[in-house]
Amino acid sequence: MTINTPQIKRRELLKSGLAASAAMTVGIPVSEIAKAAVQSTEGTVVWTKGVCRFCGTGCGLLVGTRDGRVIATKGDPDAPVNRGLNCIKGYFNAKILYGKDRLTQPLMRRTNGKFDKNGKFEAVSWDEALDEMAKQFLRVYKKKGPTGVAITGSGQYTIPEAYAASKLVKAGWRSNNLDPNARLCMASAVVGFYQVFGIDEPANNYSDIEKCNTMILWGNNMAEAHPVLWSRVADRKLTHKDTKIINVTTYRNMSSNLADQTIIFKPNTDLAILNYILREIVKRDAVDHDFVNKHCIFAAGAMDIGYGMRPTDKYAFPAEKDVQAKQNEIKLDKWEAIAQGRKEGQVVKQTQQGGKAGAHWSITFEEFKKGLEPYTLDFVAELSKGDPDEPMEEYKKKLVNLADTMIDKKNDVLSFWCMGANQHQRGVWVNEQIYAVHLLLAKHARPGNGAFSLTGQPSACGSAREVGTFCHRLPSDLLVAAKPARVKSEKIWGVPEKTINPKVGQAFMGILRGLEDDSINFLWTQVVNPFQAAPNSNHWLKAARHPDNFIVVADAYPTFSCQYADLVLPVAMIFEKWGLYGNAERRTQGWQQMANPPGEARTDLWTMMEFAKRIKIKDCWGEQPVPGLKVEGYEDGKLPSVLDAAKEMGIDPEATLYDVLYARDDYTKVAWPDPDLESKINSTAAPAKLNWFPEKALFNEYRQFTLGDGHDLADFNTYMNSTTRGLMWPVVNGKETPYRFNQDYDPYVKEDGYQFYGKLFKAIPTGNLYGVTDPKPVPLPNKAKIFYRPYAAPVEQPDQNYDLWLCTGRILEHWHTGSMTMRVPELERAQPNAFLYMNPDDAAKRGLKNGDYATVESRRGKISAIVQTNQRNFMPKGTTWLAFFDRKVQTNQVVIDATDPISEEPDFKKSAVKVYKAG
Amino acid sequence: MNYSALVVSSAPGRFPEMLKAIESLSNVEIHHKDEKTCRCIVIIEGEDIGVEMDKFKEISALDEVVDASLVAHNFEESAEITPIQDLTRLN
Repeated sequence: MTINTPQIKRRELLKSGLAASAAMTVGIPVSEIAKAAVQSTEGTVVWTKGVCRFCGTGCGLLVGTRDGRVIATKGDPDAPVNRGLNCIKGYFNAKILYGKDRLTQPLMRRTNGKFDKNGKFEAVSWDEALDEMAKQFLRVYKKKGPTGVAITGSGQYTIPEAYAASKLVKAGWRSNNLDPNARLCMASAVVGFYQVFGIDEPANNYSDIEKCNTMILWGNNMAEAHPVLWSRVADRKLTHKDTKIINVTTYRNMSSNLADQTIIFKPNTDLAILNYILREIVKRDAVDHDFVNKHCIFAAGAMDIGYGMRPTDKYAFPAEKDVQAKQNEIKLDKWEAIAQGRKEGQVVKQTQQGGKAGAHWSITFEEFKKGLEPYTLDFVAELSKGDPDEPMEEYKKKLVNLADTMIDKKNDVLSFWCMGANQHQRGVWVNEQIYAVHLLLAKHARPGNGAFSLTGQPSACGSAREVGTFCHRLPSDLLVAAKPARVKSEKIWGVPEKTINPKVGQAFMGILRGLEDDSINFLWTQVVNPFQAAPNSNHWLKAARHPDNFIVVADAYPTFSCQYADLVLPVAMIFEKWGLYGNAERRTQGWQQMANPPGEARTDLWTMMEFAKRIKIKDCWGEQPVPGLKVEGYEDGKLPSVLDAAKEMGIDPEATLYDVLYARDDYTKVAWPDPDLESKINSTAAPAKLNWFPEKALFNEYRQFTLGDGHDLADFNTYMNSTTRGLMWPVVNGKETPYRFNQDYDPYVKEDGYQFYGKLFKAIPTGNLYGVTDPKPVPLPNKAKIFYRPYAAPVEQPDQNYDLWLCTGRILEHWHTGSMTMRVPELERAQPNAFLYMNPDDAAKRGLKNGDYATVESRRGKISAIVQTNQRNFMPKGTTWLAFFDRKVQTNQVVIDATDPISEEPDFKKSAVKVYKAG
Repeated sequence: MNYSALVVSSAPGRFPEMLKAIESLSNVEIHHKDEKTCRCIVIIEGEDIGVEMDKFKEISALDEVVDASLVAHNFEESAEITPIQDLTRLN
């Protein structure tokens, strides 16, 4: 065999080029000859900067394309987030485009060439798909108006997609039934930000990892959920020996491997542990009175707020009724009684459900101290110790050490949290408590010190939250319920006053419940797999098949949700379209389109624009019914017609939503191709035959919302050019802001050292621990709120019938429902099945061992999974764990859909199940 | 054929042992050694895509290896769109 055939030579060159490229990426010295090898193999490869498709860390990638196909990726050495590293999911970013069964044509259920909900899927043309979609939309809209239609969007939308969806639903359809899957992950965090600071998103940035000496994890498995950030944490710990990490969790996980201590607590008792720490801070007189007096006030709020379930059992499965009844009334257990200053066995009606749940008021420091009194070490340790096998004295020592560590003036402390605190039926309260600790100690919004709410999805921040694709929001932290917010939006959107619906719409779970109770009959899902991802899914699977419901699923792959759709739209993936994402540290990052989507797949943006061409202004802007609307300036129960006002603005009622929302004069002036940007492909513009740049035009308009009130974004081309690696907003005069609210770093703070300048909920009444005493709103400009929140027990707990806890989450190798990662053979091989993680004694008691199939049953359904007792997650007795990436293991069929009543975010972590050998 | 580039680190003082251990594995090549930081670049070559992952795990599991990270990736030969053919699985 010769060693000089062209193929072998080429392979050798390819390998040495790849090796040299990798060496340069991580800073290993490389010879000039090796550098030349990189050049020659990569000669025709075009490298473009990109962002990872997966978690909220927001790692930078370099994506290599040749002939319009993505053929290589590497970590971006210039990205400040990850400096050339990827985790295993990030590494396979490009491969997710090439999984099996990519959707390339619209698919509709038909019989004899006509739409039939009971028909079989057939490939159809885009015109056929969109025509039917418009027909079904108008059928429902004419009958039920804006509240009968909905879009479920995503924290994985690009920013232009999110903005286009917001305009379509809120200005076009006059509906507020737009809610993202970010409702399922970050809503509690958002409400926490709103209630404490008056404005969304973290104050700190990732560089604090390299500046602190203490990191506390509050119920988040950072090692698996934010792996590259964890690499930075590990690096810090290995290079600075005095760095301490404490993992506060309900089970031992991968993060425990690096942590100095793992504190295993009982579900929901994080509320009590945090109050213990707050009590210690006060008891030890460790409060930074200077900071607190200047910048904070104390607050309390509604307590009897229910659990986010329906107030009626009309739709409950028979087994669910006992738990569902607690939505209206509970009997306090002994812990709640002590914690809340009430009596054991006391029956408490949940009178502050729904809109009243978020009510809060200011209290005195004395009241705050009073509220904390019951949370002594003994009380909290008895209540919260989560591992029955751990000696009580050991556990108490750990709690004391946790308090010592956070309080010690010498320690620069970062708290991190994610789903454990947010997917929590009192998640808003937990978020508020963590801020309370950091604010009392003045350990926030400055280098090395901060309460850092981590975001799970790649653009829950940039797209869902900042653009406001929620049922209660408009862009840049504006709320639909506020008239000035609606007026500002209507002005920027060029639509008449009173176009926007002032009544909050349905949140994610409300939309699914709406399909069930017939209040919503049209659903379009985008960048989400709701029938696998939402809790208590047996309800929604049935609801999707109701004859009056028309379900459109837009996706790149045939997900589980596609089976429950009536129409499937094939869409473009990341890098097959222009886009921007905003990560967990407020870093907005853009990428140019690098490859074309396959077959007939189109960008989500194109689908919205084409759909909008089929709906006329007169279809939506006449008088519309909105049941329950009761707002000053509006007749009860309806939106007024704005057609006359539209005519005065020069808008013809026969014009389409596309004409008014997307084909605006200022949009059509945005040149395509862009002379200053390298990529000349655009899969939204091309099929629509546009000579203007839709993604940029939308971004330009959106940017107007952000300027001047603390949300400032830079211009589109800055994010897209080949040198920028994203910028942390607010970006003022071209400069990013590393620490918000801090006078040394934030251009919006002019004096006083710190100003928490968020405007929401900054005028509140006065009261005590139990209620309002003086209803007159008192303004609190620039202040942050330190909340007292009580311990509350979980609504569903293990009992004689369902005797184990089930917690759920994700693992390192797979993202969410696995639509993408299960299609990368390497990742699928690494973890092809979701395991039921169990304590080995619990398993043995049930006749189960490692590798056996077990059935997991709850009040809501049953599923089967393979038992795992000795790797990855080590469960204390009484608790089990499942991920939700595995289509074969529909975890959410057993999970309860109780939510935090204020944030409406489901508690995915606390269901009661029984486990037995699968038959 | 798929190629992966990894950066692999040893504990201080164990660099030569680590190199030896890696060299004993099949389908991997060491390029670019950096003794100062105890790191090297390893190329994995995999005809069967499963080989890549197995090799990565094998390397990570070596006693002498403290950390192995995936850095760069070339899979040109398998960058193919496979559209869904069988719609019956959706019904």
